[in-house]
Amino acid sequence: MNVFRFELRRAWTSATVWTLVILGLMAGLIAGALPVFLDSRANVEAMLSNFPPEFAAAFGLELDHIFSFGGFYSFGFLYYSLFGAIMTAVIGLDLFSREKREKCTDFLMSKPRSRDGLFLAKLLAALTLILLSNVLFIAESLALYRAYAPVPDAPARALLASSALLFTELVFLAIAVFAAVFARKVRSVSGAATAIGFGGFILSALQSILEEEKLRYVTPFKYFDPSKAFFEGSFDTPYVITAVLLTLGLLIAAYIRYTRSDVPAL
Amino acid sequence: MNLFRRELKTGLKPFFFWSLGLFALIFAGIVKSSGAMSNGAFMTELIGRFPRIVVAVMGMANVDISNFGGFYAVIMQYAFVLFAVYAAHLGSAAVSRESVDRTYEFLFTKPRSRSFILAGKLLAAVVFLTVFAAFDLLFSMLAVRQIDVAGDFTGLFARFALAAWFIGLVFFSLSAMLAASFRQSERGAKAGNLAVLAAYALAVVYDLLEHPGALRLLTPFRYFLNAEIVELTFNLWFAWLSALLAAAFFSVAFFRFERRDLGAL
Repeated sequence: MNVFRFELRRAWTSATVWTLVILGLMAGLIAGALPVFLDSRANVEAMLSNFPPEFAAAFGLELDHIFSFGGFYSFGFLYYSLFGAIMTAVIGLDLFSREKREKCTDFLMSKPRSRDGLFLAKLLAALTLILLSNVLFIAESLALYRAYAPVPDAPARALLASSALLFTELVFLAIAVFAAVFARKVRSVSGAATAIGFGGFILSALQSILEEEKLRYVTPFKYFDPSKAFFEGSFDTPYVITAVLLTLGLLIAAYIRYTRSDVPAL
Repeated sequence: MNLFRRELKTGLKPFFFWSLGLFALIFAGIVKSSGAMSNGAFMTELIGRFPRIVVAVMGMANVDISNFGGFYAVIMQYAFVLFAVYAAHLGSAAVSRESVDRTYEFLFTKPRSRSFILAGKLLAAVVFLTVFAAFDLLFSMLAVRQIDVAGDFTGLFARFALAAWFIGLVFFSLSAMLAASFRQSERGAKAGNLAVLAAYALAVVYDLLEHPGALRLLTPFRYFLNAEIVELTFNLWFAWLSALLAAAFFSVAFFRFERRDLGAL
């Protein structure tokens, strides 16, 4: 309990700032740009009528999807995921490399607490922060959905779509915890977190441009697709399985390493 | 000289991993480009019909993916981000590494001035940044051979690599300055990384404004515009601005580093 409280107290400020940034960005994007976006549909339709019918047919079907709350929501999702991934990576790296960075592993480990207990307390603290942040994110998403969607008749799907961020962040938490536990030295939490976050961002952008299905298996931002959740009420099963296996695998490996590794003297 | 050689050796491993990332980005991007370019004219026209803000958020502002040059420019936008993050790492590591590792007492009691030591470290980092840009050019030239596209793109690749080097230099010097200005090394590193993130956000804002004007000065990611580079020009004004900024940031870094308290915080 002490460890849990200590970690929460140390990490909550940066988590709060990141959460506010994400919430502000989403509110700004949807309130500021969604109406303009929906109005531009006529413009796109006019252009499509100048193209050969097979183009229009292939693309026209998607128009209803693109020009809707869900379509617009998933445009911004790349950025919510970027900030969310950096936030989670900061939390994971910070909590799990704290003793390593401050060279006080022996201090913590010599307390009458099992290493399992310490690992779980840290993990629980990280999960608490991420869950709280996402409760706010989901609540705001649903509120914006009610206020700005032309026909807000599927709140259950909006709920599923907005929880995509939580699931994505859990994958990044596992990556960060794994990195923190296995790295010999963590010199800078923010440096490593920025690299992890932007790494995911670049992969995601690359996958969008190339539309290569195989690449999606290594692109955590694309495991949970909010537009798919909006229109079909589910995520893509193969990628969900990948995400679950990856998350559990990394966490179990980190757990084993954390509970068994030798503690360096300094 | 000893210091310089040692710095090259310690920096080699991270450099290798960053190069691997760059390699993956460029190869995947170029080799798979034909699929994305096949209906590029349609996509470019389509994107033009969307409101500016959506296009900017998608990262597709002012691009024309109907030809190889325009498509390569999209890939390079992401390579610029890679350069910036790596450069921020190089800058803060050059200044703070000894403090983080608690080896500063060992190094700074040697009969060399702090400025001499910092200069050696920064020089080694510039070498890494330069080789990184050379790799960017090399990977691009190797990757383009794998696909069937007519024309010689060496000049285009070289201009983009040079632009990436200048962008990297600005972030490198900035994060070195920030690292030297904060007493706690983690605060300095955080400020450097936030600068990259903020500059990227400003670049998106730049894209979504009709007349961004002076905003361009604030974000190195827009010092070298795709359209300019694709059309055979290299913006010397902004190259000079980058060099000037770097010189200013480095001077502050040296000034602060000479006077700061060294510690393990």
